[in-house]
Amino acid sequence: MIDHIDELAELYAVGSLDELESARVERHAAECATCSARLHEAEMAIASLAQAQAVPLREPSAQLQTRLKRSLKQRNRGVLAWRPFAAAVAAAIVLALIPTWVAVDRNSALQAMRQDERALARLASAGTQIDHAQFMSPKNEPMNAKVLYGPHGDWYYVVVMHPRPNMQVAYVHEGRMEMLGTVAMHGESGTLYLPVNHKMDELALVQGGTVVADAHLAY
Amino acid sequence: MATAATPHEGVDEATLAQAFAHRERWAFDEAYRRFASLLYTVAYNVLHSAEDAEDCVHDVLVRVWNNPRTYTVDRGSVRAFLVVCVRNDAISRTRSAARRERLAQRVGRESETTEELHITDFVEEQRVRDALAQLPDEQRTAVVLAYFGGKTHVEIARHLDQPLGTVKSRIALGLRKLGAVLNAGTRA
Repeated sequence: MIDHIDELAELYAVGSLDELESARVERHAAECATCSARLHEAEMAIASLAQAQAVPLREPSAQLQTRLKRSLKQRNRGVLAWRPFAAAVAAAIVLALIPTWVAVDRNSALQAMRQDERALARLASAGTQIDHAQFMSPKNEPMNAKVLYGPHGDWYYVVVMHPRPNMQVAYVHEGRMEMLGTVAMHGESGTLYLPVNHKMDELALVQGGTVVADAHLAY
Repeated sequence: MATAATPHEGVDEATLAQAFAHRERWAFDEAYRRFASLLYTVAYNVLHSAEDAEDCVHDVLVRVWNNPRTYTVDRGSVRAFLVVCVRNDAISRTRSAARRERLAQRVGRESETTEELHITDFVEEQRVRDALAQLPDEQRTAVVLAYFGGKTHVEIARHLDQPLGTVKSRIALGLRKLGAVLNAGTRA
């Protein structure tokens, strides 16, 4: 976690930060009650200014609500659709990429294969009891990476498309990061199976000591 | 916006905040019912386009709802949180050079100096004008350039020919004082 945001709270609320700085403030505030409270004070001041400036109040068109409903519905459909295909997706990734393992370090490949065999067995036995979370970049954009996980937090399977070498997965908790393992490369994709019997609510993808994406898991 | 009575119309702000943080769908619908006009107006006041303002509100609400950790109960008022999210997103849209040019054509001019930014042109509410008038000159100038001028603190520092740290402190102190005056007795 970064240091407390201090006066960045007011600068964020007034709209004076660029997108990267804003993303840092948002990430920190999500983890820090002290800074959230300071941000709240600043946001209340801005809301008062905005309210005073919002005269006359304008009405959005009815289409806006329709669009929103459609967007949220599509998102829900996406969540449901992922589950039945999760095992198939994982299997396809592993099977399609087996030949490429020949070219990588033999021990790593064997280890990755063993991990994925366990992951596939777990996915197959899980049936529809599979959740997933999307990894998001610091700019809050979706990355081409997901984590599948058991609803009881007893297993996790990270799938990353086009990972860079030595990408690590970390558990983020109370401002600290605990490295869990390195994503095994299989050509265009990378995976890491984690049979950790502990409910982890935030995972991060780490490259060269820098967090490049994080995912928030709900139970 | 719909004005018909809803089952959650009487829900207080604290309950709405809890439900919104836990992503209970009714809370999204109720927040939209209560705040859509304000959010749309906030976006419109920055973007000066109905279409762009609706895009902005749509994108922000979808992003906030799809990222559960974005809003936590510690953040306080859902209304204030959404207002700032929408406003920041709208400002971010105007900061692209091409859009800025089109915006300048729409409004006829771009405000470049504090002298051009007449608070009375923007704020009709006497309470807010009085609160702004209570700030020391240098803090008011920094807040006005940031809020009404839509400038980054880097741009303000360059514009006022002051160190970046000084400008950041002026904005932060000014806004805190403003908040203390405005929010007294009106906390959510």
